[in-house]
Amino acid sequence: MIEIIVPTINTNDVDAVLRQWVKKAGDRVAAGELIAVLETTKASYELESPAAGILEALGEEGQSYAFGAAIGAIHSDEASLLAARAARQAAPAAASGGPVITAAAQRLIDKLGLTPQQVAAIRKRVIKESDVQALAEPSAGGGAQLSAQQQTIARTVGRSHATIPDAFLLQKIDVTAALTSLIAYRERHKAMVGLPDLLVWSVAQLTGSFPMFFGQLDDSLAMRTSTAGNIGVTMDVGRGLYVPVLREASSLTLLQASAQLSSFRMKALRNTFEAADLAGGDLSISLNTDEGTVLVKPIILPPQTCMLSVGAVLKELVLAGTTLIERSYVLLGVTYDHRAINGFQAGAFARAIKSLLEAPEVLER
Amino acid sequence: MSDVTERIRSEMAAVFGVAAADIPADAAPGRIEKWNSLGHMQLIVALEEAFKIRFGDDDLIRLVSLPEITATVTRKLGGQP
Repeated sequence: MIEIIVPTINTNDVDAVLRQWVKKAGDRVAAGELIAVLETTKASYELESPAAGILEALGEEGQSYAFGAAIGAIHSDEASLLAARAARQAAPAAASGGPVITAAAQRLIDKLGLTPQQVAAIRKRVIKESDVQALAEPSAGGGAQLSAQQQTIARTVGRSHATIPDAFLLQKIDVTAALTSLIAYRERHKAMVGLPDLLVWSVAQLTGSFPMFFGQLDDSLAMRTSTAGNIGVTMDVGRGLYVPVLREASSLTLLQASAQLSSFRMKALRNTFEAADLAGGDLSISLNTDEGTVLVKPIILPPQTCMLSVGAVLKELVLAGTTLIERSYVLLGVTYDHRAINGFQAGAFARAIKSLLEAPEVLER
Repeated sequence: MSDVTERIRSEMAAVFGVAAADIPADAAPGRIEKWNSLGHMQLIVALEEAFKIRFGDDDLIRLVSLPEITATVTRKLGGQP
């Protein structure tokens, strides 16, 4: 049996729609014969049979399949086809509308004694032998299964990489004046307000001016914008990664925003977040301020359209007239969904954030 | 200088990578280079472990100087504020 795999048709898409089976299930086909038509966002693609034999058509017309997914198989004879069908009918997940499991994958599942729940965790429409092998490897090697929290992160990261064609822009921001102003601000208000707090709060002030960066983009490419300024902020104090959401930050003072972020930091420390703390972000910010970290290029959390990142404060000597002066700066990363946002808008957004952070009087708004 | 202050100064020295003698009596975030938002969290963790105390959510944002921290830790230890 030879699987019929959706090829990597281009670099702009991650999947293709199975538009039509040109040959019917059970037809005898020749190697190289046209058997199906696929369609990406760019063009149609004629899929040829990888071998001569009997076609087993598994994929459904109108459904989308990731590049690399198996949508059928070519069998050398009737016996092979019947055996594969029998194996598939025995698979409970497929029978209940779950993923299609190839015969080779099913044999490996049976051999390893995997439960339906474990198989479902693969989260693919068509499960191949290699998918089952990848699932089995940690236990086969004596390794530990990822924690439930890390598995959640894994699913989000995987979905982001699979579904969001992102682009990236880097902006340098002089924070010398902001850091000096924050010292005075802390002493005046007797509150621990840091540069990350100022960044988060500043970004929230821009919701009305840059609507495409705040909200959700659905699968039909409809954008639901939000002016509330619900900003997710990454927090990891060594006890797991969380992205709590600072709600309606555009209507908060810097002091109020900072107090809420402080509360989140304590929850990260105590591991006491509730589901409501972590839901509903319009845009997220990845804080990577450990000493020496220049920048991290983050993923975008679906269905958001943008994730910002900031590294540690760095220092440099610059020439001011004829005098060398020390300056503090950070690098701001803007990872944006290129389906909804172009580089022009990303640049304008980055410059707007830079303007706010380089104007210390913003603290007193 | 109280024993509590000295112990806090010792923890600060370890967290911020400076000599205890270089931490002034009025030390505050921003005046010690590594006392930023991240360093603040690391200091809180170190102090909780060192003194076997637990800070509240509201404490975190208010601990903005060595005197403030000394007063809060002393209070949690059952001493005078």
